[in-house]
Amino acid sequence: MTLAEFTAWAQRLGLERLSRDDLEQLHRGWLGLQPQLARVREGLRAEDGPPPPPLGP
Amino acid sequence: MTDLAWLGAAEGARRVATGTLTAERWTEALLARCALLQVELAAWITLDADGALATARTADRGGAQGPLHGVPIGLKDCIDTAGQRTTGHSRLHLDRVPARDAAIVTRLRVAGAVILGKHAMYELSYGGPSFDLPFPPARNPWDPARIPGGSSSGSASAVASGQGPLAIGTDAGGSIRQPAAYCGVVGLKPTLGLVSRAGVLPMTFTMGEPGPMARTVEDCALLLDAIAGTRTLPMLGSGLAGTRIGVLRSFFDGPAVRASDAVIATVEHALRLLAALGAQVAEARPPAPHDLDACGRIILLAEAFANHEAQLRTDPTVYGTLARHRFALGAFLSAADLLQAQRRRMRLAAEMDALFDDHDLLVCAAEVSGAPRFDDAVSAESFPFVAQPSLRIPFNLTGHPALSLPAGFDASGMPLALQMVARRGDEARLLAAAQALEARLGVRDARPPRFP
Repeated sequence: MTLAEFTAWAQRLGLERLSRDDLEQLHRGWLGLQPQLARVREGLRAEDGPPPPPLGP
Repeated sequence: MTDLAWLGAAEGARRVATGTLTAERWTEALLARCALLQVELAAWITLDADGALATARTADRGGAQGPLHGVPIGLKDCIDTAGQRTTGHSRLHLDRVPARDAAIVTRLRVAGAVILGKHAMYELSYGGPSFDLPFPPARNPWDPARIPGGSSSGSASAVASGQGPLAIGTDAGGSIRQPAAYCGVVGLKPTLGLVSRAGVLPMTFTMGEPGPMARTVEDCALLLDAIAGTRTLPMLGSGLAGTRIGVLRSFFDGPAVRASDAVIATVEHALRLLAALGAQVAEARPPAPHDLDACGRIILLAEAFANHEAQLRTDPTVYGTLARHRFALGAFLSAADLLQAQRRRMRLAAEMDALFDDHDLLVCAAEVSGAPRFDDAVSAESFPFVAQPSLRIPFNLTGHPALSLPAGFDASGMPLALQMVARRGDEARLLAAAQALEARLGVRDARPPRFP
């Protein structure tokens, strides 16, 4: 994801008041977080079935 | 004054109870030291000299003798105190004066504690160390050019430098245990849910809570019992014979996390002492540090954003740079990401629970090195922590009680620490084992040379 795409995403999320410097840092942070995010997303899918219902037996 | 600066809570309470020391004299001595050291260590945001002395004088007139009767204590500045400014070390709450005490403050007052004031911290428990906040960052008394760790930074700095025997910090991702390790004090993250969070400025909803910080395990137990209603003190002295210790080697000496040689040597030394004390030491096989860390990070980021969403949309500039960035990153996570992380959390917690079928306590390092210099810790990057797994977040994630115990020093003279972990609700065994080890480690009475 490019910085421009990330910036557009931030604006869609209502974070228009963040500065360009803020968005550059957040963009780097977001890219850095991807391995951890993938570990949560893909690791779980690999080892688990669908989640049980939140209520009931 | 020096004698009273280093007086422990349990011993001080005994002296006050027997009339050989007044709470007023103890409090006066500490307030003077706090004012003196504030210039170099900046451990406090608010010192309440008038309030503390009034409470101390009331204690000296008698009345109910709680377990902390006349004992001075400092609180992290995210813990509400009625009528006294509580800022979270943030411009956002610069003039915030709560109407009510936090639930744990009520317990402390009932126990007879004398509240000295409010400690400096990382901004709202997530943004630090920073120099763009309304108050300076606290400094490490073992070397003021180094960070004390965070986010309960002032609390650790104050206790380590004789500015009070006790402090209350909070820990949602290691925020008690890291500064305790860097400053050479005892810090306990209790079992998730054991200590009330009512009246504590939230960083997360499901990852942490307040806990005790002290110079000794005994004082840590005394404070935990006062704020949590536990009965850990009577268990102290029960020893370690037969206790089964599981070593979490992958948390400090493995491919995912490789601590400094000094930290590894310190942990190995502690393991030999544990065995000499009669414990059965064996290797444990925990979930992968990367999995625990990833799951915990996602939840922390999502919950922190949820706490600050409205402010980030209206005026994010009120935060310092680090807090602004760290709170905002969670905006980019989806509901599915958080849900998956919470589902995975349950699996990882169950795997951690299973380790206690074969072990009574788990042991690893509390940090990978001694405290870094400010110059190295305050970088241009807002997210330096995504690169390597935390050793402390795993237990915020799983809810187990975890204690940082001073265990040695590196070549620069900076403290190093062990982390000990117990079953949920088994703080008594955790503290008893830590005290037995503390007695053999030989670092309990060490004091920062610059602040004797």
